[in-house]
Amino acid sequence: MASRKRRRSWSTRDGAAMTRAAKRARRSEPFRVETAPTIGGGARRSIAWEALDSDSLGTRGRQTVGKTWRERMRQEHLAVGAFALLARELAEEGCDAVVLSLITRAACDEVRHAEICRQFAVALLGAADVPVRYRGLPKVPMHTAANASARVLFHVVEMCCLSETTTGVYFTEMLARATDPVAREAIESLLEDEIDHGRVGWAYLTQRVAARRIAGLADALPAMLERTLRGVLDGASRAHADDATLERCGYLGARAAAEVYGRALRDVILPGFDTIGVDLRPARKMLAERKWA
Amino acid sequence: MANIDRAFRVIVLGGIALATIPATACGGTEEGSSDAGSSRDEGAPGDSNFPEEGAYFDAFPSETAQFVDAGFDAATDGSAFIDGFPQEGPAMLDSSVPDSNISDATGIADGFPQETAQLVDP
Repeated sequence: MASRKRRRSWSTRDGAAMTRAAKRARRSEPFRVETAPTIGGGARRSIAWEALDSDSLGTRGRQTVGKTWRERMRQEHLAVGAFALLARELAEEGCDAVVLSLITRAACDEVRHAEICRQFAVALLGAADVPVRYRGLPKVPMHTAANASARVLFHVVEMCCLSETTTGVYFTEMLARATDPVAREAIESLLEDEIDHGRVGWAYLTQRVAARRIAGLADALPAMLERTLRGVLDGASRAHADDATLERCGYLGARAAAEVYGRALRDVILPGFDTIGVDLRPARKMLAERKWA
Repeated sequence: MANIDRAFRVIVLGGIALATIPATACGGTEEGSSDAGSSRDEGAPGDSNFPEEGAYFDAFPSETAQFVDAGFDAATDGSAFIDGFPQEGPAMLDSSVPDSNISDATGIADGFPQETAQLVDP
């Protein structure tokens, strides 16, 4: 709690203070031990799928877990198009090289993620029940009332600061509960990249705040949060009790997912915006009305 | 719950640490149409071609992308839904019907891209 108060104490919209925040963050040790962002890099692993202990899940459990990985495969495919859109928009708008590098690399990462998820699903459902590949693009909000500069900011914030950051927290929790070595290897392979996919959003937002170019973001945030969180947080209320026995093999039930999303919102995302100096008043009003935070 | 404070440090503070805060921040070199004589703005009017990295313009990837055998649509085409960005974490299956077929659109929570998914010619 004390550390959180300390973080917020240096929240400000002032560019000089943002520089201090960046320097302070650079001095912080923990993130250095994670995957270092490298141009053209990314996680590469050889996963021994045949060693996945799927029998322990039982027939019904294999179906339940396998379907989530098949659905995740589709989401990963859609993320390819989302990051490709961001790369195009950022290239047009102009941004720091590390941001453009990570965003363009992310599109490639997601191709590999889709394949990892496909193989996970095949290991549980069988090849006949899993598509060879997907096609199609995500239908993202184009913020037609915003100019191009605001639009790319909104897209990066929604995709990276919200969606990818919550995904990173989600996979972290999934990994903490998984015990099957093969499942853990697969989750780690995804998580290594997801961390960078979240980071790049906070990096870009930091730069936009420092340049005082975030007009409209505060008012756009409530709808972004709604889109990102609604399905998971509201879905938990309709869910059966979670089956914890499935967690060993890369699975979180609906209620666990909602708990993870709630914690990610309260302890990662909102403090992140506070730290950088984004006006959260409209967002907090919506979150209070929805009883999400 | 895994160490949530560490997630904050790794993702958020790690991202902030990546940011360089130069005097010009993230805007880069902006050269618009008023920059007469400058040719560095790749998007300037009159420069309508894609970068020429090869001679085979008629072999665009978008042409080949249509040939997906035994594939599934990840998104509908022509749908009125504008749903948001993909979520790679929780699979948005209807948790009240955990064994429902994923091809069933009613089994997917609303407001997210996965709602637009349709199975095609498996």
